Amino acid sequence: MITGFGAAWLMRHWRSRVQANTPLFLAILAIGLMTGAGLMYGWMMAAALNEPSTTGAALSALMWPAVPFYIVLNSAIELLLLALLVFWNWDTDWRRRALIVAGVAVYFVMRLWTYLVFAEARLDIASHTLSAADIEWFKQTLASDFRIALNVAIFAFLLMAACIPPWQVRDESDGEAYTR
Amino acid sequence: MLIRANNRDRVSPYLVVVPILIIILGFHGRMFSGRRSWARQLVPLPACSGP
Repeated sequence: MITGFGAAWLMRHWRSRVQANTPLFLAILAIGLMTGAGLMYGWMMAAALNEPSTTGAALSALMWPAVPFYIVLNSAIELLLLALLVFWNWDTDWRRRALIVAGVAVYFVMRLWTYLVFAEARLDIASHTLSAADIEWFKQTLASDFRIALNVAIFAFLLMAACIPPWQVRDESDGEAYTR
Repeated sequence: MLIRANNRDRVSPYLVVVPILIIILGFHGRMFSGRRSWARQLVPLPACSGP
């Protein structure tokens, strides 16, 4: 909330193209990192689950490094970038704003899905050796985990938004507006 | 001279950001507090040996 109010105050008092582009660039970077890592995590875990010699302890050890990675990236987006992204791009070109709001909306759906279905249980099973029931639950959730498609959609929305210049510039000499 | 869209007059960005932040912070609060919090599991405290 502090980030949001701070971003809104800055939006009123200081605007620049750098201000509009910085949170967008950082959000694209974070979502891109999560998308690539999520894709690899799914493939790697599916391969490990299909290998008969994989133990519950090995699966747990394999899962654990992903936990702080996703918590840090998602916390940065949720607590900082999301508010900056919306506030600092609100008075830009309407297409850019619409794409950013669409990206934020899909991100919100993805986070709700995560918090309600995956977050608590996946953290729990990653912190100890997996039992047979844990492995079965993990297999089921891995098969129904389509959040990667949402991540790709967010990435595409933000990337398209970045291709649209935030503001038009009017040339005072001939009065024509152009973008830069 | 920069020509900016005047979107703020029609819809407030607060309408987009505040509801999302409230809901997400609610989940954050649940995950980062209490006995089974993320923070506690990521950085386990040493066992207390006091009385």
